[in-house]
Amino acid sequence: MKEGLNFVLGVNLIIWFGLAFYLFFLDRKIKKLEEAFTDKRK
Amino acid sequence: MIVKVLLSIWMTAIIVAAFFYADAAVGFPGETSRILFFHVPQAWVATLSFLLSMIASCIYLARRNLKADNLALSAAELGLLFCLLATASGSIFAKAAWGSFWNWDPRETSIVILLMIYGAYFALRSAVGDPDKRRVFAAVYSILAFATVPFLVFVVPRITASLHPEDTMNPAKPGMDPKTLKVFLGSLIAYTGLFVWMLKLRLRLLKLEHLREPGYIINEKTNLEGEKG
Amino acid sequence: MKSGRWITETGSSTYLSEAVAIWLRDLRGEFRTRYAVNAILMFAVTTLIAVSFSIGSFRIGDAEQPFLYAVLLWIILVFSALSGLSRSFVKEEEAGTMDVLKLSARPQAVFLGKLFFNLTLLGALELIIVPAFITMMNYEIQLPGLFTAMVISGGLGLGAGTTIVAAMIAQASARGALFSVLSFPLLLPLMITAIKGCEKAALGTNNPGWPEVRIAIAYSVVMIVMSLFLFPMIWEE
Repeated sequence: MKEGLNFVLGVNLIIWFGLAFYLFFLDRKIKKLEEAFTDKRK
Repeated sequence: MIVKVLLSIWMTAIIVAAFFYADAAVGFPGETSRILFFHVPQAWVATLSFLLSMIASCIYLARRNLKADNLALSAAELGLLFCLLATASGSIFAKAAWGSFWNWDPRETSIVILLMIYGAYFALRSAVGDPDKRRVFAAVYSILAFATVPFLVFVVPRITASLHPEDTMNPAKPGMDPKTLKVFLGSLIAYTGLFVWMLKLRLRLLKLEHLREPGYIINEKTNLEGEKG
Repeated sequence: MKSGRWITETGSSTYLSEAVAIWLRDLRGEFRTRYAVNAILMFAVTTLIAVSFSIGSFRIGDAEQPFLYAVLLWIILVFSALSGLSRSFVKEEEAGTMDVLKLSARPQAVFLGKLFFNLTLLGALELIIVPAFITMMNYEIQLPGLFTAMVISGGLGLGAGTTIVAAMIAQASARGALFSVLSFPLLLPLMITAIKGCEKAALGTNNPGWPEVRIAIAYSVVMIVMSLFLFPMIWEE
């Protein structure tokens, strides 16, 4: 049973890391867009 | 930024702890109780979102403040996402613990109803062309849907319990054993933090869309000049 | 319309008189064209026949009948309602008379008038379909009083929960199934209660105070009050 647990844990971590990286990526993208737009308006 | 990194580490720790630090709860077959570390916080966030969206809708109707509608929309989107997650994880748990994916017990019924309300909300938003009308209609619907909640709280348990007496067992909260409690609360914090992070991202995006021009949509393919990839 | 009794001293009309005027106008229109009534009844009769035919001569056990038949009855009623109740506003939109309507009466009066109209349609629906259902399906009901009260209060709830939604979708660009999608989650508590109430009536369980009927009435009151409050916001541009 414990080996199964390792597998499920692994899957969960992969999903989570994927999501976290995507969120950080989005964060950076948005930050750049925000800077671009505020520069444009100046 | 540092908070986000900390949150990510925290969530990672919670995930690991859910499998190796906490013990599987007694009374549930095998290791299945571990799902509850994820399922319950997801359901919690889904309902919290709904509440937030409803309150933002009220504020929008009272003041016609665009930010309020942005909040209502973002909270609804995230609420829908977590609602789907909660339904899925709940189903998996039900299959593992009780043998069938779906039973219409009070909890399952409530989450499906929430799902339907979210679905209807988005159907309404996409069906109305004029932006001001869309916001008002969506807000009105949100409030109407909320008005049915007290009835659901009263009516659903009485009805479903008597229809399916064998399903009155409620997975509610896992045992009071301290390790489990710690992980559970930690998970609640992690999921709430995740929700706030995603909410803020969404709100920033919506704000940018309005800055540019009304009706402009930004997605991850938009480049720095604001052109679509 | 001679409304001497309803006109206040200053000569302006009351909410009720405006609402009744709208109701009567819709009724007259309906007598002429019979559009909504036909749509709703056709749907209901067809569904009823489909149900009865499909079950055929299969004998549903006495223990199951009260509940199952209550479910079937309310599915027929709810879906018939969903097929036709949006007409009250959609026909204004199609005829181009929405703006005139907005000018001619106060929002709450418009809502009430349309509500009365929808309730009339529902009343007709239930008057025809419920006896037909009971007869065709051989539904045995121990407490006819409770059953009737449940059907009436359930009908009230159906109208109360859907009228404001009809007003919203009439002004939306993509109508289609939107009315059903929006109304159904709102109607759920009512539907569940009505089924339970009818089941109890069929079984003979007489809880004092008829709780299900009370819940249905409470639901109707809440939905009507909220609609009266919210309707002006979706009605005015």
